[in-house]
Amino acid sequence: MPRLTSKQINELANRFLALAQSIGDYRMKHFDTLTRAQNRKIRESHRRILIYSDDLFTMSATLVMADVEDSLARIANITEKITSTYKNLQNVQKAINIAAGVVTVGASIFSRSPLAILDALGKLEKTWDA
Amino acid sequence: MKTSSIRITVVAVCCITATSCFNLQHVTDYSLSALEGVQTFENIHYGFAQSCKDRCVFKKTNDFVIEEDGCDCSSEKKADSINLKIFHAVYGYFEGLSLLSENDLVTYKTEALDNALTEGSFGSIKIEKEQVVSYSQVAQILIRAFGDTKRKNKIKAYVTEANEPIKELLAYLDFNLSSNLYGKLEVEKERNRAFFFDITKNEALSFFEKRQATQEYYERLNNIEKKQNQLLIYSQTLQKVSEGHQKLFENLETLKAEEIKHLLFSYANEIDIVIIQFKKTE
Repeated sequence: MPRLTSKQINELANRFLALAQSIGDYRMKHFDTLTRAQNRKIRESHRRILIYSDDLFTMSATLVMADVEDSLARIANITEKITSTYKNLQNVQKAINIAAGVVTVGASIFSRSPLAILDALGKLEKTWDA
Repeated sequence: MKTSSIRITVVAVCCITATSCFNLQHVTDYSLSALEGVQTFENIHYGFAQSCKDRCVFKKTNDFVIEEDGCDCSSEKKADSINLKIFHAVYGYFEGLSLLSENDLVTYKTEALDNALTEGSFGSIKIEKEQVVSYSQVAQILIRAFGDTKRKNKIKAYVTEANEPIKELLAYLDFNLSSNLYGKLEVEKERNRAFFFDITKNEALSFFEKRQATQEYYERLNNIEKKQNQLLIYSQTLQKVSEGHQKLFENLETLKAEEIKHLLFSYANEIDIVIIQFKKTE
């Protein structure tokens, strides 16, 4: 037999609540005409039905986990990828600095050429895709 | 390379890369509003465990029971932990999205490159000051365009992949709070109504005592309705965030278009308005 879903349990909880409210309305409206025993009995039923409703709302909330497990995993995965992309784009600054450093190292050498800058930019492709 | 050639190159590069330079400010604004909206969850200060404890203490008070603990709220704590898990997942995603769409992310400092390339004569190569500035300009434009293209493509991919699961998580967080937790507050209202009604019908109590009880009833009712109001406002926030993300997803190919900008700005504004409403309930 298939288990009830969180939405179905929530629906039950709401029905029990509505029932309790109707019983409460009835008891208050007819309080003066009910005997003590009748009043006690209806009050006790009212109390129990409210407990069922309360507990069913909690049960519905806990059952949500089964419904969202897959989405939670997917979002966690995507967020990790976003963080990785973000870090890579931040690393570009490091790459620029490294590239500049590489060029500066050649300061003492004759081939301190503008072409070295363009070459360093080419290395950024590898940094982003890393 | 002659100065005029450099100028032409810079202009050409600017033209070519102009379409690649994206301003994703509207994505950032929406993401930041969504983030702030989702974060108001932390200001609700009420949950399933608290509801359980309130019910337990209410019963003990009415039964004149004095004891340290004895309230079993393990199921309610589990419900709260589920909500917290969903909240953290949603928050993490929007935080990442807002950081990734931030324009400054691909604004890089290239002064180090300026310093690496100085004017002067190097054997047969002569570098003039204008060339130093121009190469740096070209470098900045190229890096920016390259970064923006990469960023935009990545954002497209992430938003596409995340749209269904993020909407589901937002819907279930909304469901747990505005339906289940709200429902528990309705139960508490009804419980109070029955209890205090009986007190007012108790002939053994004085007029003053009945009046005190009636006053307490309305104070409790007021507190419950304040909490319910907070939950409903938060529910609106979550729905706006969800709608905004759907719009972002539907218009990914036109991230630059004025229409999507206006749409996202308007969602960001609507979320901000709901946040202000929420803050008034605190």
